[in-house]
Amino acid sequence: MTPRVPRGLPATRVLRAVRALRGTVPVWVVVGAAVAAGAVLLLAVGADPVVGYREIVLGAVGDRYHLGETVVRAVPVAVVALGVVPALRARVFTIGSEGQLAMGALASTVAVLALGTLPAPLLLAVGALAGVAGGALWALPAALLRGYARVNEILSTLLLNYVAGFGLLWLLRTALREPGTLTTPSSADLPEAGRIPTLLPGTRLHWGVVLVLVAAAGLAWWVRSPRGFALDVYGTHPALAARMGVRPAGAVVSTMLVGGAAAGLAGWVQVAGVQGRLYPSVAGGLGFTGLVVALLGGLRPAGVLGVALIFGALATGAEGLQVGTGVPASLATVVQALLLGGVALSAAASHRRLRRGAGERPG
Amino acid sequence: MVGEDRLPGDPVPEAQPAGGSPGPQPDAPPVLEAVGVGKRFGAVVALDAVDLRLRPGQVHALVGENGAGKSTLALMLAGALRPDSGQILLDGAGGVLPNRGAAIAAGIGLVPQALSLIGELTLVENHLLSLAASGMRRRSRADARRQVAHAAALAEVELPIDRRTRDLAFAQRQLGEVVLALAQGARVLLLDEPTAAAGPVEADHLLGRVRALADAGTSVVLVTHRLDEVARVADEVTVLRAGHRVHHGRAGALGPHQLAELMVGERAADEAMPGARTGNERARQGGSALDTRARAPVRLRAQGLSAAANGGPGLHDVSLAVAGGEVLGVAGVAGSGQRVLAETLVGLCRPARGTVTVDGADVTGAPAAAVTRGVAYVPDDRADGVVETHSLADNAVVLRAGAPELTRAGLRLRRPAEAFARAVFARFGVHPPEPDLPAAALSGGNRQKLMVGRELASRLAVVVAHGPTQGLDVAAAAVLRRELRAAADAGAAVVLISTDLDEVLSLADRVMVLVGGRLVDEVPGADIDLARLGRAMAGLA
Repeated sequence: MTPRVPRGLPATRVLRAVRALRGTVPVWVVVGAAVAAGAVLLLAVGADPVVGYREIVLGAVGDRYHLGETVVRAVPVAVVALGVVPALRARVFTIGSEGQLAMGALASTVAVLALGTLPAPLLLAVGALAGVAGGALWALPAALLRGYARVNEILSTLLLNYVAGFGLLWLLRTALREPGTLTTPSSADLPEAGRIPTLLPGTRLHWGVVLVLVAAAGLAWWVRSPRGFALDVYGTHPALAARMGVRPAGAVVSTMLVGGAAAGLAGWVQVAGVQGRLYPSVAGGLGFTGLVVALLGGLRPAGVLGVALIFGALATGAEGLQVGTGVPASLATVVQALLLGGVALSAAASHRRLRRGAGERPG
Repeated sequence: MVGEDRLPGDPVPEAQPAGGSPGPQPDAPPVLEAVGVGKRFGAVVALDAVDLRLRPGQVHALVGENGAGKSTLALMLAGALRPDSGQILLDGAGGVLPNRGAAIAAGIGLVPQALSLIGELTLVENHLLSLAASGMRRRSRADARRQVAHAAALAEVELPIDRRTRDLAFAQRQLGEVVLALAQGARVLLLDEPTAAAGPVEADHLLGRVRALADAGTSVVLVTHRLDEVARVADEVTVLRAGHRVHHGRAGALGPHQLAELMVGERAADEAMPGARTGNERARQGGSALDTRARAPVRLRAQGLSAAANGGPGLHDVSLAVAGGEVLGVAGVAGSGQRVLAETLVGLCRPARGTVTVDGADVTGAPAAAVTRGVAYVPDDRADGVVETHSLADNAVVLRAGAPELTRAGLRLRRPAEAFARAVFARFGVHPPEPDLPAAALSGGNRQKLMVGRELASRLAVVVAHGPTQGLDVAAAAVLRRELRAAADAGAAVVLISTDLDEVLSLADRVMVLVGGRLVDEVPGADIDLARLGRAMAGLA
């Protein structure tokens, strides 16, 4: 008998070639391809790619102000991401940060406006605690449903995002409405005592960045703690985790509440540290971006901080691109997404190479 | 393009020899051949310049210790793993296999250690899926059903091919995998430890089918730990030790003892033989020893356990009591409720009725409390007990991660955990003994050793071991039996649940038989009698 080895259809052959390349493509090729794709897009709208990329870099890290902007952008994303890491490590896929952030922002705004005459330290504490409570409270129904009734948390948290987003809009148009802000409804300005002080003069960088460092330290402790280890195990081996003392409902509810609390805190940071008042798009995708940053950061504190900074730089860089070359804002966002995607893919590839190096083998 | 004379995925007739005389053909050219293949995984050399020749119509046994490279070689022959050096040849020269899809199209079927059937699908649907996945010609459901039915008829097995495979017994699923390989036109079958989890009757049946298929012209590579199987069904045998071929030749030429010697090398082969029935012999010789144990206080007591289980018989009014120092064997064919019994005893499954106590304390449905009370558990599926993504050290300390000697200021300490892990590695022969390595880097047998070692490492009140020597080579299985015995001698109550009657007999002081979720017979050690157990297991008692 002669061997009959089919060579496969052309499409199969292409797939096979791609598969052979997998894991061998250097990081810079992937990032380079993303940069090139962005350049093609810039050319297509008549902008000079070289100027465009220079504006991105300058816009991100060009001077003190823009450096500050980069960090300001990274702060809420990092807070959300650090908070959601324990849940994701336990494979609890809570994707409600967006709504929890909005509810935290709402709660802190209401609390600070109501108690506006308190001295600054107290008012800051009130705002932060109200944000934490608002976010955690918004996570609570989904957490209880998943923990005790096995309702899929992806669905419940996702749907609660809509409730939060439109609920916030409704309140801003009715109870919280500030006369004179007809087109884009927003709340009254927070009193000066309720705002997070600026850290770096001449920029918008505020003391909220300290929260990020505290949260990162907390997460670093969690990852190395016995309880954190047990919840890691819960994610893949629930029976083994049960023998380690993990109660499934407790694991789900506690991690989801921590994620909600962090998102709510990020909501307060946005209101009290950046805008000074509540507005409908306060979440503005920060919740979802936080999830992406948590995953790209490898669910580890240092990784999350690094990716959050890259994200912040790309976001401010995209603005620089828009201002510097006049390309539409949406295109700037597309270029930003391309670059982020390139970084993400290459990070995933190098991660796989590491694993391969460690030597996975068949049983 | 696909060859025109035969489409891959065409029905089975191709699997039979084309007009040639059936049966073993010792001098025929090999149908599948490994020539000097080598493979490294990171720092570990899994195979070093190994040859294997599979002749048409023969059963070629591939034996060796855990981590000797058996599965690696099987995967290479199947085209699922690329050798770093050397070649895999099909039908002599020329036909190098680039990947698994080509190997399937060329008629090489693989039944892996962990079965690959999708539980929600029937055998027919699994067949359709694998046809699609390997890029073969699409077929109608009716066509696919005909192929599977034809293959089942060829293998002379009766299988419910239209039922979801997760509802089939383990042995049926295993035969189902063989049938699917045949339905895909396999003329070569690679079976990776097909009898590892099968009861004696099931194993006999499977081996009988394998022999008959070979006699009809199919060529078979049989990876196995059970050395008695070699002489019974194989024509040729290849022995691997630490990635090297140390022997190949006619299967009948060497007895199980000699094969064991070759496998383990310099070490004492006697110890490695499963025939060393220390526990049972002791029980038989010294009725007095048993009497002493019978008078020892009961440490594990289960009363009136009833539980429902998904896809199994559940438990029906099961009661048992095990004294410290005693090994209770629970025999039974696979699928008799072993898993739910084990999980209920260690608290993982909360029974609908009944209680489990350890030293008088109620641990029903309380797995963490059971661990605190000194309950060790070896699940039958090691994937449930080993966290692949975590390091070997993490896996070793998983049940004691919060112990004071392993933590400071609420943080887990690295060095004490590594020291603990190294002690487990040394005692149970886990290889490679690198605490930092992810558990995914270990071979199946070494994962088993790691898990068992971790469970038996501390002072214990109760050990529940479910098929603990599955997938272990003879030497490692002997170590494990000795450790189970030692745990009993140190005062633990041991429950050994196994479908392997030899294993139960070699250790147990007393045997109970589980049939359909009920304990139907109890035999004290002094009277253990294979015929009686066999009848009870078959539900004839």
